[in-house]
Amino acid sequence: MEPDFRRSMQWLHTWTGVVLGSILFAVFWMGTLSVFDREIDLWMKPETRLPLTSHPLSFDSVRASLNDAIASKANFWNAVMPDDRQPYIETHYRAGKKMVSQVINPDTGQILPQTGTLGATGFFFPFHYTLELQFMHLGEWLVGLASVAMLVLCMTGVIIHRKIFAEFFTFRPQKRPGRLLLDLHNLTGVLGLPFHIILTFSGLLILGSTFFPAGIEAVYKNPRDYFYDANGLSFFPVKPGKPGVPVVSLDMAAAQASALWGKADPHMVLVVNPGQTTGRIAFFHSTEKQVTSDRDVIAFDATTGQLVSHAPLPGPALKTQRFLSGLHLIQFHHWGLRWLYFISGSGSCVLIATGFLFWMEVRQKKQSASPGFRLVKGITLGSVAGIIISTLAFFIINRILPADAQYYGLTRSALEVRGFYLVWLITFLQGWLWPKRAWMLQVSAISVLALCAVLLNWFTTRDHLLHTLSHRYLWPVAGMDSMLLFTSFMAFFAARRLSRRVRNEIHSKPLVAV
Amino acid sequence: MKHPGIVIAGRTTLALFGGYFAASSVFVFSDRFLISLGLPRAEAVSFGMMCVFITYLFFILWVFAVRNLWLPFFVFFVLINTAHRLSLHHGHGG
Repeated sequence: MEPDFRRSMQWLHTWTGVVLGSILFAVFWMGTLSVFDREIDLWMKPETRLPLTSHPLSFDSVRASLNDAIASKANFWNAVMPDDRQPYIETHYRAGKKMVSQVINPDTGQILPQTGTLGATGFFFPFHYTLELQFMHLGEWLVGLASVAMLVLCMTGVIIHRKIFAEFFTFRPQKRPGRLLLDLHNLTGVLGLPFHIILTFSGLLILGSTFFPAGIEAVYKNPRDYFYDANGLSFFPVKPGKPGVPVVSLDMAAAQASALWGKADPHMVLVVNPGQTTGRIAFFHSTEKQVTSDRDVIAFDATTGQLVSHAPLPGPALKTQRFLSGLHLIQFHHWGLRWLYFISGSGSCVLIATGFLFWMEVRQKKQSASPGFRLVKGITLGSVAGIIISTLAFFIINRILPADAQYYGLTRSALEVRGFYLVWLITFLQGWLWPKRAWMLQVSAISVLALCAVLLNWFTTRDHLLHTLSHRYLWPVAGMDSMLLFTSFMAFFAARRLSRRVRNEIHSKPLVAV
Repeated sequence: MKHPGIVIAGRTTLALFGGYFAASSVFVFSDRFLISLGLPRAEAVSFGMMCVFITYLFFILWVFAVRNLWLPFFVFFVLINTAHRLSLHHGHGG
C-alpha cells in the first residue's frame, strides 16, 4: 500500500472512481432526469397533456375501473388523483400476471389512449436504482456498491484535497485542459458536496432493507414485515376472501379519512382484495406540501366502511428516516427547489465525467497505447457521452414510432427500450473500435439529436415552444423543449472547441481522448 | 503476499466483504441492544439502518488506510463470529 495516509486515500479515490465511475454516471444521469420524470412523461405521452382540472375530485368517478378489477379477480386496485404535476387520474390493477393501467381524464371521465411508452417514470426512474438488471437484483446491488463507492469518493476526495478553501472558487477555463478538468472536478465536487453526500446516503437508506437484510431478519420474520410495520401498512397482508361482496362508496370513506387527518386530502386510494370479504380500502395523503415521505395511511374495511387501522405516530428514528427518503424522492411541490435538484444533479454528472477525463488526461502521454487505457477510454466515452446520446435517441424513437407500432413481436414501449440499448452499445463500440475523434463526433451527435427531438415534438404534436410557453398547463413540455435546446447549444459549442483542438493537435498538448 | 496485485485484491476483498458482514453484525447488535432498552422494533431497525451505512463506510476507509491488515481482519472476525453465535442462540425474529 501507499506509504502515507493521504496517498493511500488518493489511490483509493482514483481506482474507486475508475472502476465504478460509469455506473455512478448512469445512476446520477437517470436520477437527474427523474427529478422531472412526470414532466418528461407529459412530453413523451402527448395525449396526457391536459389542462389542470378545476373539478372537485371524486374517487367514485373511476369506479368503472374498480369494477373491471373486481371482475378480473385482481388482488389489488389503486387510483392516483391528479395534482399540478400530473393532470390525469391513473389507475392500476393486476389481472393474473398482467398489470393493467388506465389514464383517465378527470374532467370527462374518459379513458385516454396510451402512447405505448414507459416514459421517464417507467424507464428512467427504475433505471436509476436497478439499472434495469432484474436478474437476482444484480442491478440494485451494483447501484448499492456504486453508492457506497460514491461516499468513499466524497470522503477521500475531501482528504486528498489540500487547499480545499483556497480553491473553492478557482476555475481557470483558459489553462491547459488537465488543469481545467481538475478545476471543474473540484468546483462541482466541493460546491455540491452536501448534495452528493445527502442524496447518496438517503438513496442507500431507501433500499436499506435490500442491502442489509440481516439486521432486519434478526428481529422480524422477513424484510416485508418491517416494511409494513414501518409504513403503517399492517392492514395489508390479508388472506383472499370470498368474492361477490360490494365495495362501499370510496368518496364517503375518503371524507372519513380527511376528517381523521384534519388538513390533508387523500391523494391515492388502494383497495386490497377488491370485491372480497377480506377487502380493505386504504388512503394515502398527498406529500405535496411536506418533505417527509410520511403518508399517514388510514385503512377501512371495504364492505362495511369500518376503520381498520390508522398508521401509528412514527418515533424519532423513523421520522428521520422518512425525512431523508423524502429529501431523495422529492414528492413535494416546489419548482425552485426542483430546479435546484436538477442543477445539483447535473453538477454531480459533471463531477463524475471530469474525474474520468482527468484520469485519462494524466495518463494520455505515457499509456495511450496500453489496452487497459484504451478500454477505460472507450468505457468513458460510452458511459458519459453515450448515455446522453441514447437518452436522446429514446426521445426521438418515442416521437417517430407510430401509435400501434409492433415489430418482431415487440410492443411499442419495448421497441423504445431496445432502441435505447442499441444506440448505447454503438457509442461504446465507437470508443473501442474507432476512437479517433470519437468525442467530437459524439458531442456533435448530442447537439443534432437534441435539436431533432425538439423539432419532432413540434411536428408530431403541433406543440411548438411559443405555443407551449403561452399555456400554463403546457409549461412542462416547454421546459423539456428548452432544456433540449440548451443541451443542443452547449453541445454545439463543446463540439466546436473539440474540433479546433483536433486541428491544432500538433501544436498543442493532446486533449483527452479526442 | 508481496505481489502488489494480490495485496490489492486481498485488501479490496477484506474491505468489501469483511466490512459488509462486520457492519451487518453491528446492525444486529444494535437491534438487540436497542430493543432490550425498550425501543419498538421498527424504531430500532430504522436507527440501525441509518448507522449501518456509516459503519460500512468507516470499515472500508479503515482497511484502505492502515498498513497492516491484521487488526481490521481480527475485529471483523470477532464481530461476525459473535453475531453468528448470537443468531444461533436467539434464532431469527418473528
